[in-house]
Amino acid sequence: MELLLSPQAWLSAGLIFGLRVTDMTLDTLRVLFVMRGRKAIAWILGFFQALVFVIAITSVLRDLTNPLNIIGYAAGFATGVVVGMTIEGRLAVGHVQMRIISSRRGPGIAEKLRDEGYAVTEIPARGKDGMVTMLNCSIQRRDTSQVQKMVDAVDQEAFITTEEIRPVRRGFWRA
Amino acid sequence: MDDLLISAIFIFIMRMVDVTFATLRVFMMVRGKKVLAWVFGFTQALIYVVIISSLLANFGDWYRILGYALGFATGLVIGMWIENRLAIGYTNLQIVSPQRFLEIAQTLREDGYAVTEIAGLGKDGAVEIIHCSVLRRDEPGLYTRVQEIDPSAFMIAKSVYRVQHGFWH
Repeated sequence: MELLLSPQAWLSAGLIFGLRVTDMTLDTLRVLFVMRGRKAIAWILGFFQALVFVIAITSVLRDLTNPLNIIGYAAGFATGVVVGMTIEGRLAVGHVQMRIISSRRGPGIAEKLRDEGYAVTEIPARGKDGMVTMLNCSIQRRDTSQVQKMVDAVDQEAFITTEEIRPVRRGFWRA
Repeated sequence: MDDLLISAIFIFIMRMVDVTFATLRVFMMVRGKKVLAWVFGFTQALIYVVIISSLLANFGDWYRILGYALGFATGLVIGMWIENRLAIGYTNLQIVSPQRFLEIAQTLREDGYAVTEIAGLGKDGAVEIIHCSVLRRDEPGLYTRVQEIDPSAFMIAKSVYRVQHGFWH
């Protein structure tokens, strides 16, 4: 009880929390960059992550009698993961391919996306109830939501799947 | 000696649980599930501190170091196995069967899957590429179904991370 009232205990737990948030943010970004094949960024992130980790783990191990340290450590870890994911989502590095299947408005969607400057490939295809249009549209990942809104504006029912692609060679990308 | 063994087994089990959570956490990260990533991350880190302090408190005996390493490796495999069982998410399958494509498309539709057929040209003439997006947990069943019709059908599966609308089995 005494411990929970001591400002030092809270301060050290807070410090550990902060360190762990930093190092796990870097670690999460590193994992997501490794998956996209970005070696240089992964190296830099890995280096700093390990550096901060060593400082954080030694601070916890120095004083295990303080349960706040342990909780700060675990909460910092978990929070860092979420912060890293949020940052990565904002950066939205890389490219995705959207595949849009529309039973009636295929050409309309293609026209709209082309007007907006995206490269679209139309493929005639057959669905359960006859001919449909499949559209392939490779875009920068950060444009995903925008393209989805454009498709929705033309055809609410269009079936859209999005998958990550890498690496990309040439092609025509919206500025 | 007995104490040492018990402590080594304790480290092994704890490490196994910790790494299982860690593995699941990475899968959740990749799929963008923030809440689950937080929960798994918290649990993982809590267990980890207990193990590492117990290991470092008396560092040097091989039993416990071995327990730590075995726990790590086992946890990875268990995490992967659980993730496979959960099978969260969607898959896009592309099936190429030069001879039996019509039958495959028809059967899959009768089974209730949404199928889109695309005309293609292969080495020996016209083929169809069959596109079918399914829940990941339906993937094995679909494989078997296609295999029954054409054992030599060529199939690729791609993980689709974002899906909108659509008609699901």
